Amino acid sequence: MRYLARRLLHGAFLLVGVSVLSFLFSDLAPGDYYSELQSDPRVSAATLAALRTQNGLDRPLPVRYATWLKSIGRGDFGYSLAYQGPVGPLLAQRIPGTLLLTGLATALGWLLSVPLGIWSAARRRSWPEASLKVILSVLLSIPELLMAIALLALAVQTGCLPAGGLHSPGRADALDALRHLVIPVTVLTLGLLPILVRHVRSAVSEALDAPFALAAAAHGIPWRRLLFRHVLPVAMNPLISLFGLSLGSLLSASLLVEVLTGWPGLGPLFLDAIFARDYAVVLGVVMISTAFLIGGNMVADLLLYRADPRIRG
Amino acid sequence: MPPEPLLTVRGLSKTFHQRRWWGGNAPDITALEDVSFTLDRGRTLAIVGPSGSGKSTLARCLAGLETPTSGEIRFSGAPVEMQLIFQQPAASLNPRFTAAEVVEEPLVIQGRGWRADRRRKAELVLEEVGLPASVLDRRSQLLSGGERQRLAIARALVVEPRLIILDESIVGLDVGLQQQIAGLLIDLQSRSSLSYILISHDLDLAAGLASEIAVMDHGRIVEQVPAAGLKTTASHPLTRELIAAAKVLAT
Repeated sequence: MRYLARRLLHGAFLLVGVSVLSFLFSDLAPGDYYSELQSDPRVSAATLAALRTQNGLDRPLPVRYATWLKSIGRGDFGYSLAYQGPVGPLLAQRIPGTLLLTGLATALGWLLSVPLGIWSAARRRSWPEASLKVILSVLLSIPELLMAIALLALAVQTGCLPAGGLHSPGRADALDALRHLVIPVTVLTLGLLPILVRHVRSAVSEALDAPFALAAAAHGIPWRRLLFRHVLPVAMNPLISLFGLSLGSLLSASLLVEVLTGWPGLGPLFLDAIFARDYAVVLGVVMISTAFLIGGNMVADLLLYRADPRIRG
Repeated sequence: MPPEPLLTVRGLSKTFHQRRWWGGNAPDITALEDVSFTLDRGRTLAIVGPSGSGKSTLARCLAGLETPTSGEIRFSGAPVEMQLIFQQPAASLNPRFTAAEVVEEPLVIQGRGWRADRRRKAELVLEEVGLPASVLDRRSQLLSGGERQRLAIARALVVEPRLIILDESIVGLDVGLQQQIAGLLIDLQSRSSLSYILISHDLDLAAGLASEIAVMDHGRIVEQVPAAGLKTTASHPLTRELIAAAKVLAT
């Protein structure tokens, strides 16, 4: 229980730290939402100043930060100048899309990489394993950006899959949405896979090389039992911590892939907000992503706490 | 006719072929050459010798972990009745298994007994090696070095073996603990006519436990003498050298 409380406190501190820093950086960036209008001869300087005053952009930084924090408390997450409304509902509308993508990719990535990693640790230095390693290295070196573009081009060429969005025009059924999910989820899973397989492989082979595993093998313990009863429980801990980390890297990859495939998640919202200098939305997405990341690591910590008695001691 | 010995080894040889990584063969390594000996029930044979003399290869051949190149090993008993305890037995225990799980595992693999029977058997064996029942549900990584030594012995004992091969299993302990474990081994032997093959480079320890001592060098047994009166009967120069190096025997 004390462990849990400590982790929660730690997470809260991290959130506050990220909020201060990102608020500061957004303020340091040159220009604001109205900078575009400055070059428009029809808008006078006085109008601009009035608009800035009206939206509180001229107030000192600490005051604006305090106002922003208060609006987070209300669930508004600030006021979007581009959308002329609170940020909260905008986020709420987009979060499910991103969660669906990252959730599917996480589940698929782990479901594939755990058996692959175990298999490759068990078949070290054989040619099928060597070829798997080559394939994974190639996958690792291809940026998600390129992979997404290649798949989209392929989809357009062959017409077998929709090339973007959530629904085809005039359709709103689950099957159609599923078909739209294929490309973004594939890209994310393939991006995640090489890293996960490598980690699973190294954790399992390390446990396989431990003296107790050699002794167990020499004692004639059947291979299956050796792997599942002796080796895997020991290899599990580093993988659990990796789970939390994988959520974070997946989230940032997801934003990019969403933009490319026109998926209605946080990604396109984030990109538009950056271009429009709509900082309230940018900050909202950053805060939500941070919260996801911290939440994911917290889940990993709790799993670790359950799995490893040494942490409890 | 005298009873058949528990273990008969005749003309055992083991050669390792080496491959160079760029192809072709490196010179062969002869680890064992024409090794012969017999071991009776309830006796202890110590195999001593310097590093690289083939002691561990012999143990591994006996336990079936290596296939000998030629020669014969005859063991009058089921394979499972020969148990091997490794170097650093403490490291050979799965850190996440409880003491009970460690001891019960050979029975599980053999498919012997119901859960409750196995548990009872584990309790008995732990008592035999001098471990209290309170360690049964403790994970092996939480046990002390001495307790893990005893647990490794208990793991070998649980299948009721006739022969236990100790491959440098009780070196690297402090002297007091070594004495305790040696005492335990002698105690177990007197209760159930167990036989031991003790692989060691420590002649003091070997002389204290064994009835016979075989001295190995470059894969051959160069001399085999009774442990009692070793100092006077031993004639081979290597044996004399080992005696001179031993602390207790030399004095």
